[in-house]
Amino acid sequence: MSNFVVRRLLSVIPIAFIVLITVFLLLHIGPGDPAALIAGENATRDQIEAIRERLFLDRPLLEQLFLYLSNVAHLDLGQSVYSGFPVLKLILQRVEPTAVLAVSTLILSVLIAVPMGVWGAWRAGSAIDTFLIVASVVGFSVPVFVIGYVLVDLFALRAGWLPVQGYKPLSSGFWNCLRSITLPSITLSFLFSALVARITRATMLEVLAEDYIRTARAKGANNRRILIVHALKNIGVPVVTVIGTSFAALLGGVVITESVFNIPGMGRLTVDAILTRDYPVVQGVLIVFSFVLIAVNLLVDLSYALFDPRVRQ
Amino acid sequence: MTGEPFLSIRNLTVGFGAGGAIRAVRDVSFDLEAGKTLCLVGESGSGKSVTATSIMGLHKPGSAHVEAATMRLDGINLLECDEREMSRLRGSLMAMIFQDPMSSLNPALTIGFQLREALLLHEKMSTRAANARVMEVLQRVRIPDAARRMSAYPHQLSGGMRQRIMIAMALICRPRLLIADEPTTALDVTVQAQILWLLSELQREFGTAIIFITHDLGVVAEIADDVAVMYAGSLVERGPVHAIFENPAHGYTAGLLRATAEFVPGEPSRGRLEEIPGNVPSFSMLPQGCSFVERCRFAVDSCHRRTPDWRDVTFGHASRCDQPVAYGPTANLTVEVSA
Ligand SMILES: Nc1ncnc2c1ncn2[C@@H]1O[C@H](COP(=O)(O)OP(=O)(O)OP(=O)(O)O)[C@@H](O)[C@H]1O
Ligand SMILES: [Mg+2]
Repeated sequence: MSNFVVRRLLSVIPIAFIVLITVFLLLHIGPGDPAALIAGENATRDQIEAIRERLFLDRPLLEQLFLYLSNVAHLDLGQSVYSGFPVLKLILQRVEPTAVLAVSTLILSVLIAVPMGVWGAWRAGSAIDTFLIVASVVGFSVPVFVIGYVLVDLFALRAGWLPVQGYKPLSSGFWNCLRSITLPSITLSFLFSALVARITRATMLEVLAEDYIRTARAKGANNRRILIVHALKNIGVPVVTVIGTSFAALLGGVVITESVFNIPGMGRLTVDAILTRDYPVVQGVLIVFSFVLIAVNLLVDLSYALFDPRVRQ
Repeated sequence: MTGEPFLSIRNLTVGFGAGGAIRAVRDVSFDLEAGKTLCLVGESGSGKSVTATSIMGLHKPGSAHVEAATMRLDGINLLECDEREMSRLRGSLMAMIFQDPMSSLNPALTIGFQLREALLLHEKMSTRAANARVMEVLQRVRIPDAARRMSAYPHQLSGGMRQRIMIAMALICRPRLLIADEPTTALDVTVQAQILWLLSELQREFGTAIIFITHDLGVVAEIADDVAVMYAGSLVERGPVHAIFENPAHGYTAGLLRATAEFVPGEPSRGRLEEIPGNVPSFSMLPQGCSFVERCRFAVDSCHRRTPDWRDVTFGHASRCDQPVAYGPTANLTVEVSA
C-alpha cells in the first residue's frame, strides 16, 4: 500500500518537470523574437531591448531554463508585462472563484451523474433509461454558453431567484457565495455530468453482467443489496477515472462559464492574458492549471486503492 | 417414495433471444428425492447450466424465457414465486456452486464477507456467530489457515482455493437442494476426491438433494444415484446409475460410455466426452427426427422421421430412443454403486 503511494508520488516529479520545460519553451518555439512578441506591435527598439534584458532573453537557452526553473522553485513566476504586478499575485487574486466553481460543479455533477448512470443501467432498456440517455446526449452536445444564457433567462431574469452574473467571495458569507455560483455550476454540470453518467451507466451494465453478481443473487441478496453492496464498489475505479480525465474538459468549461457569468476567475485571467500577449501571465496560468491536473490525476490513482484491493499490494 | 418428490421438473423449456427463439433447453423433465444425487451429464453446450440456472431462477431478468408445466421444490411452486420469494429461497433452501470459480467471487469484497453474507441474510445471527459457522465450514472444505483467509480478497487465493470457497459459500446455510455445476473440474484429483466426500457427508447429515453437473463419468459412477443424459437441449435418457451404465438405452449414452470405456470407477476418466464423432447440432439446425440421428451408429430410417417419445426400459429407467435394445450391455464396465 504505502509502496504504491510512494511510487505514484515519485512519478509526479518527471511530469512536473516536463510541464515546466514545455511552458518555458512556449516562448521560444514560436516564430519571431520573444522580446518583440512581448513588447507588442508598437514598441520601439529600446523598449524591446529593455524587455530582453529584464527577462534575461539575451542569455543562452539552457541558462534561461535554469533561471526559470529556479525562479519557479522560489514561487517567482515573473511579472505581468502589461500591469507589472507579480504573476503569482495576479493568479492568487483569481484563484478563489475558479476553485469554488470547479469544486461545486464537481460535487453537483457527481451527485447527479452517478445515481443517474446507476439507475439507467439498472433499468436498462426502459423508458427511464432512454430518457436518461437522451438527456446526457443533450447535456453533452449543447454548448456551455447556450445553456448558461437559457438558465440566466429563466431563473435570473424571469424568475428573479438568482443573480444574473458576478461572483460573491466566500468572505461575503457562504450562502451569498453559493447563490452567486449556483447558475454557473449548474451550467457547467450539464457537460460534466453527461460524461460521468455515460461512463457510470456503461460500467454498471458491465458489472451487473458479471458472474459474481449472479453469485450474490444465488445467495439470496435482493436487488437493492446487489446494487449497493456488490456492484457499486466495482464501478468505483472507472467512474473516478473518467472524473479525473474529464477534469481537463471541466477546466476548459470554466473558462467559458466565467465569461458568460462575468466571474473574475482564472479563466478570465487566461483569456485576458492571451489577448494582451502577456506571456508571463499565460505561462503562470498554464503552470497552475497543469499542476492542478497532475494533482487531480494523482488523487484519482490513489483512490484506486480505495476501491480495488488488487491495487493495494 | 410416497407423495410428491422433493424436486419435480416437468417440461422445462428455456429460450434466449427475441421471443425466446433460441431454445437452449427443451422439454426437460425429472424428479429428485431428498438425500439423493442426480448427475446431469452431456457435452458442452447441451444445456446443463441453463437447466440448473432455471431452477434457481437466476437468469438475467428479461434475457431468458423460462416455461415449465411444473417446477416444485419441497412443496413450493417455484413458477409462482416472485423475485422476492425466490431470493428468500436462494441461498437457504437451494444453493448453487458455479462453474467458474475465477469470476464468481466479488473482487472487491473479502472472502469472510462473502461467506458470511448468506448466513446474515437468511438466519438471524450475530456476525460473531456467523464467523464461527464460516470457520467451521472452511475447515470442512479443507481450507488451511482459515482465520487468515477470512480477511483475504479473492485475487490472493489460488484457483483451487477459490473453488473451495465457492463450495463453502453454497454449503453455509445447509441447503436442502444443492446444484453443483462442474464443481471439481478446476481441482486436482486428491482435492476432487475430498470435495466429493465432503458433499456426500453433507448429504448424509442433512438429507441434501444434489444435482451434480459433470463431464466426468468416473465422478458419476462414484456419486450418482440417478443419471440424466442431456443432448442438444433435451434429456435423452434417465434412470438409476447402474441401469444407465450397464444397459444404456440411447445411442448418445452408449457413445459417451464408449468414449470413456477405459475408466476405472473411482478414478477420473482419461477420455473426455467430445470423442463421439461429429458435433452437437446448433439449436437452429436440429435435424428432423431424433436430434442425435446424424451421429448415431445405430440409426435406422425411422430415426430420421420422428422424434422418439420416452420409453420405459426398466422400472425408473427410460430413454428417448426407438431402438433401446440395440446397444446391449457395456460389458467392460463394472460400476460399484454405493448403497
Ligand atoms: N444468456 C444466454 N443467451 C443466449 N444463449 C445462451 C445463454 N446462456 C446459454 N446459452 C446457450 O445455451 C446453450 C447451452 O448452454 P449451457 O451453458 O447450459 O451448456 P452446458 O451444458 O452447461 O455446457 P458446458 O458443459 O460447456 O458448461 C449454449 O449453446 C449457449 O450458447
Ligand atoms: Mg455449463
